[in-house]
Amino acid sequence: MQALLAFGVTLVIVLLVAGWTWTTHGSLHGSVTLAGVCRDMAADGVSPVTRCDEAPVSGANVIVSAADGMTINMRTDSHGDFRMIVPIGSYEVGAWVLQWRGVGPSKVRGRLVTGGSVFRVVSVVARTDLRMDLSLAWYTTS
Amino acid sequence: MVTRRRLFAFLLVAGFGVLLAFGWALFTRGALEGTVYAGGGCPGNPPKNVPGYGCSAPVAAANVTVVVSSSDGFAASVRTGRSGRYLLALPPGTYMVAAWKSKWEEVSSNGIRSVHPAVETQFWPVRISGGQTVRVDLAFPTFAM
Repeated sequence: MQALLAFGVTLVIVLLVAGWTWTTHGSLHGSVTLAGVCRDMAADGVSPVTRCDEAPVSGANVIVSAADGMTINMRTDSHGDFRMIVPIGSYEVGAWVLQWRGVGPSKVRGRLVTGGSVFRVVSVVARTDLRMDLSLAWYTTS
Repeated sequence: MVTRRRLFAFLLVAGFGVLLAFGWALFTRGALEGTVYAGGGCPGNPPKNVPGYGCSAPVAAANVTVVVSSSDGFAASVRTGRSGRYLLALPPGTYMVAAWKSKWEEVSSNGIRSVHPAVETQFWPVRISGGQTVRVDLAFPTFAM
């Protein structure tokens, strides 16, 4: 009987937290890419790769910053995608990568690049899933 | 008498501990400081096409959010003061720093309201060493104060 009561209380608490999150948070997802990466990032002595003007950046840092000082830093997955749940409000979102070495379509490891985007404004609303894709301007560092 | 001696010893040890902690913080942490400028800004929301009103000198940008983050997931932000300056104590490491200011409304002295769009800078890499203060000045591309 006590175990059942404890389970019930736990379930109610979990449902309350889930409901609170559902009504006060939204989600933000997208991908981070480097523009023109295949053509210019090929290793020395390797022919430039055409038809490949954008590459997803794995491990890029995505920064979500609010005016009240809240700052979130998360990294993109192996496909260059990110997803996060944030409280409703207005945010500035940017991304950067430091000393990143991507792998081109021909499995050639590219040069080290450092890059960053500018911040973009996004308004997160409750129970909505917003998409924001970020493109990084970059320069070689090797 | 014994109580006074104990109190004195306690204060001595506590003071020594505080000094040690302060010294540790001083030598193991670095700092990032700088000023955020408005590129080609001009104070007072100047009228357009007025000869002699070319205010191209950089203007310090107040109330700007400066964001610092590192690869290990650390992130922090600080607001610039009236003079556009910011200061942030950080552990040693490599960081990326950028600044942004959201859309805001300005009311000039003659009551004219003007809405300024949001402005942002790009990220810049910076290396922080223990006990050192690194200066990074940031500038918005176009920004009228």
